[in-house]
Amino acid sequence: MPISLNNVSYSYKGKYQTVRAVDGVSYDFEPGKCYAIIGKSGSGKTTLLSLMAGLDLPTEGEILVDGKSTKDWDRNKMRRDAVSVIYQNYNLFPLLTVQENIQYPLSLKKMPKKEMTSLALEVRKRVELPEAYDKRLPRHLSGGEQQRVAIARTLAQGCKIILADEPTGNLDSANTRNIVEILCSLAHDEGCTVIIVTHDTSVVGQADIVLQMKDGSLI
Amino acid sequence: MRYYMWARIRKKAQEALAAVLFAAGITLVLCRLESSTDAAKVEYEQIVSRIDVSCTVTNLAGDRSDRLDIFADTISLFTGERDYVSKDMAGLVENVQIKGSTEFYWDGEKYTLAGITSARVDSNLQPENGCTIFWNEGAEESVFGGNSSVCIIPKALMKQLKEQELPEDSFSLKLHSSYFETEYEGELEIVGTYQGKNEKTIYCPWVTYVEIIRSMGDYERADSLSATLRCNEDLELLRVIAAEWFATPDANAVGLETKDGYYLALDINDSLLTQAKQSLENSMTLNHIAALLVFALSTGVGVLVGFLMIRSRRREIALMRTLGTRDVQIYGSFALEQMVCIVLGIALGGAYFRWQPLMELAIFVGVYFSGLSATLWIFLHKNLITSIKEDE
Repeated sequence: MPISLNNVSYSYKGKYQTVRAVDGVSYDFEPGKCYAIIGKSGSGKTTLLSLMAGLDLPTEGEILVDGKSTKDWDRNKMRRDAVSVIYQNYNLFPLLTVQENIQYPLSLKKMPKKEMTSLALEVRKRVELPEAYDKRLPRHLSGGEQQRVAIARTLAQGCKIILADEPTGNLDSANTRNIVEILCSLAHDEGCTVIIVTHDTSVVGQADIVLQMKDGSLI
Repeated sequence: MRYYMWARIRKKAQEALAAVLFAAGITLVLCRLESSTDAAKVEYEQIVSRIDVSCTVTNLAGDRSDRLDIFADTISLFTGERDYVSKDMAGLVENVQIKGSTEFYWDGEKYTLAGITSARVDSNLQPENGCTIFWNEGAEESVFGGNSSVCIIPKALMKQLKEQELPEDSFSLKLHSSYFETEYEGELEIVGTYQGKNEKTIYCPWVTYVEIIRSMGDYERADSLSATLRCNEDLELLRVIAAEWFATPDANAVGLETKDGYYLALDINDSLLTQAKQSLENSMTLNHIAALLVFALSTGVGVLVGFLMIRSRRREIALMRTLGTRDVQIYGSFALEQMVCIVLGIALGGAYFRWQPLMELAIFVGVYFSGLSATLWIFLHKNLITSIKEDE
């Protein structure tokens, strides 16, 4: 599923002034590729990712998801069915078990319980988490394990566009490599469009295409 | 979404229990206030109904005169004996006490024959003043309500009867009318004596007195008339009827002339009732204000707790939104979760008092969930991008 940015800009009111976080970005992201967007803090990477996730609409320009503008999408539905986001911090529900966290997006689709359980089991295996983790709460997992649960949830969701914001921000190098491998395999093996925002150089090496942002623009 | 709600309740058992206890506590407080308000109302009714309101026929100057010459028509307003006058007032009053008197001579001395409807009408006839009205079996205070030919005489007169060796169980009367030049001779059975000094009054029942006076062709008149209100709720009605027949007890008032041509006033003594009512109403108002304050405070606290609870879970809300949860699902999840706890708490607290303050509880639940909805609305409409940045 492709995602295209046409002259996208985004401004928001900060505490003291209006911030132009994204400034006239245009780019076509193709399915089956893993992209890395790098840039310094405050360069607009996360904001751009959030716009692609439909968390808000661009103040100028438009974003086309599968050829349809985000303005025209029911953006809740878009996030349920088309675009999945993995955040560094906004990952898991702290009070739900691993299995329940994985099943959450499926429950939004009103999937029968049996199917939910078997799908959750399948994706949990894919991210190499042991069965014993099913009943554990996120706080009993390491950072890497938590991020794998988040990826498992994304897999269960079945979206063809996967956006990840600093998914390896809190992980050691082994976990980082592992997580990025999983994400890239989703692009290469399943034809997903994977976009990773990062400033981790080890991620950059594994991505197919690296884009750099500076002052809200792609350079 | 349902399993998410149950997971929260299960895993945040302490929070859920606190919410249940909070709701139960508020319900108990509201029930208690309602219960005490109800009790105060009942007590108010009881106290107000017990306070004696009396009415007395007075002269226009407001001084109770010994000789007001209250004629039969006026009296019948209170007794309802006659058909051609309103019976409304008779229905409103009880313990009607009438005293009428006429003078006569006996053994060369001037005496007064007083007809009364109750022994309570005269201070001479109180047991503490040496009245022996109860010595004769069957001759109770109620004899004054009937028409038996009985009387109570001064002890001095009894002594005189003994000295003259006259029968001690009867008193012979010989009256003459100043209006009609007629005379009456009869006997009254003596049922008691009283101790009064220099008293020259023979007491007999009012009806007996009326019969004696009528037999002489004279008009029955009363010197005083008083009654108590049967039910204090009828006070305003009594005033309305009194305004038709009496002047106000004011020296400067130009009142209505009664049917008998006398300017009489009806003095309604309700000062005790007014004071008691005022005092009780003040305390009930205070109680009501306290209840309102507690209600407002508990509702405010409830709304604040709801706000803080949702605020503390803004990350969860943001995560739900990023995963594409519909607003209505998020609202439903939070509302249902709170509803389970609040309703359980209200059920526990309310059952104890059998749901007396249903209205207050409904308002509490309404306000609580309005506050919850407003808070959720704020968080659901917050820009997700900026919220995520703030939380990072």
